[in-house]
Amino acid sequence: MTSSPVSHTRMAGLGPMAAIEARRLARHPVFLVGVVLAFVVLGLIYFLDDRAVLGDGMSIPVIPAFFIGLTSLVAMARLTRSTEAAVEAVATAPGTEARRTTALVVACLVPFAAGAAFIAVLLVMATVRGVAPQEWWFGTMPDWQVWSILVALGPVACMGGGLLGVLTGRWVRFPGAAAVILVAVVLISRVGSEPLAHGDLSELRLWVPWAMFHSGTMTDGTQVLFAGNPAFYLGYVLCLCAAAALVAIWHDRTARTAQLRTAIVAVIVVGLACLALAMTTGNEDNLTSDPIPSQISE
Amino acid sequence: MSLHWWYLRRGVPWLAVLGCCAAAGLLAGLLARWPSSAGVLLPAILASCAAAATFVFDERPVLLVAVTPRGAGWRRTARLAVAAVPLGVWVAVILARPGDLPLHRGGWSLIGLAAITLTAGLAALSSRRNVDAPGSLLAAVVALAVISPLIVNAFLGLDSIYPVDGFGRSVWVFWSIVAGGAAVVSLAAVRPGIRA
Repeated sequence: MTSSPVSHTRMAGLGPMAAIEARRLARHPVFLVGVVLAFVVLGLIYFLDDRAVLGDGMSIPVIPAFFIGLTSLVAMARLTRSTEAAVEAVATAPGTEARRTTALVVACLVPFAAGAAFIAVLLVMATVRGVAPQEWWFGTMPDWQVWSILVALGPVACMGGGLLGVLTGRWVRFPGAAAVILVAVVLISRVGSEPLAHGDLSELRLWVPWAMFHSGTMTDGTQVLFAGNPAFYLGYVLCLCAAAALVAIWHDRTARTAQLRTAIVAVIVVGLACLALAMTTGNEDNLTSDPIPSQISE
Repeated sequence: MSLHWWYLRRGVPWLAVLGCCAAAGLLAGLLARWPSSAGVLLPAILASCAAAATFVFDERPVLLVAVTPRGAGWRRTARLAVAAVPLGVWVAVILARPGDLPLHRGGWSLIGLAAITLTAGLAALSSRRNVDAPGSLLAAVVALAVISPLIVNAFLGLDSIYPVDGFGRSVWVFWSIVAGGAAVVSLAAVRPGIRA
């Protein structure tokens, strides 16, 4: 099977454009500050914690999701809008809007890589210092669940922030749109899940784009692993990412083909199926760990 | 006075400023309905009010108006006064105590005064450096900065800087320092002269 000359040319042009957008994102001050802050906070957690072991490792991915993911949202929204400003000014911008959007989407692999590096450092820290035997981590729960949670709530959340920024830049035009979306994401993720997490229907919290699976250590030294299937939740958030990318491309009227429409519908259907499976399989109830003696408050 | 009003009515992007204030009002409504979520909703309201203040200095022809006979100082002082609008919204929310929360009115007013004055001052400084529309980026950065303590403090074992049930000494000190910094930034922004 050979690719057509047209598709080959299209892909050949996309690579350099994506590389340019990736470099623009990697040099964006807001993104850089976010990445630095994420690693600084991780370092502070490691060096300031007086415990002999690393604690709450499954909660820590909220840090890259916040600092890298949300700064990627802000930076990508601005980069997306800036490419359109160039079109208005010069009217000879390379490629179609859909192609520029695709290049921006590919650039979101930069925050994914930053999130993956963060998780890698976290794993090294956990290996060096060790974790408490009661901690929800490798050994006390299936490895696939740990990997799914770390990947979904770390690198994929970082990439999702960037993709949401592209979507915002394409579709939302009012001043301060990125700020509004940012606050909305935080509110939805927290207010939409926290009240449900400790109840009987804990798995219903999984509809939010960043759902916690680990409570953190509580005052009695125990930790709660919330209900649901992390592997299907990973599938759900990946579908959210794909949907954001495709709907951003859909903004270009010339790109609204039957193929793209089918792809969007397929991603939505698969995403909803993953969400349903995440809620109905995996751990049926919240699981409470044995208390970690050193973490019991006096 | 009428000249100030005429200028502000036409020069300030009221849609963005009042849109953020409306978002704060909406969030206050949610807080009244679900006071148990005060820990995240109060900082979100603060972020909305602070974001409103960042748009006060958005002015596309900043390079042109900076050298008008009336002077840059007159323009900056007039615009800085608009930050009183989101501050008024914040104080109204705190005085109303949505959801009957036991909020310390003096303390929470200080939080709003410090955060909103600081963001307006930063926007004024950006304008002084000929950034014509600092609002969009600054609003997002301010929202991140206001919300970030919710994420970080628990991991680092720090006291919350948004205490719903009583202000400790460290919280007073922290916000007093922020308020002092905000005053310095604002004074630096409105000092006489055209450029930074």
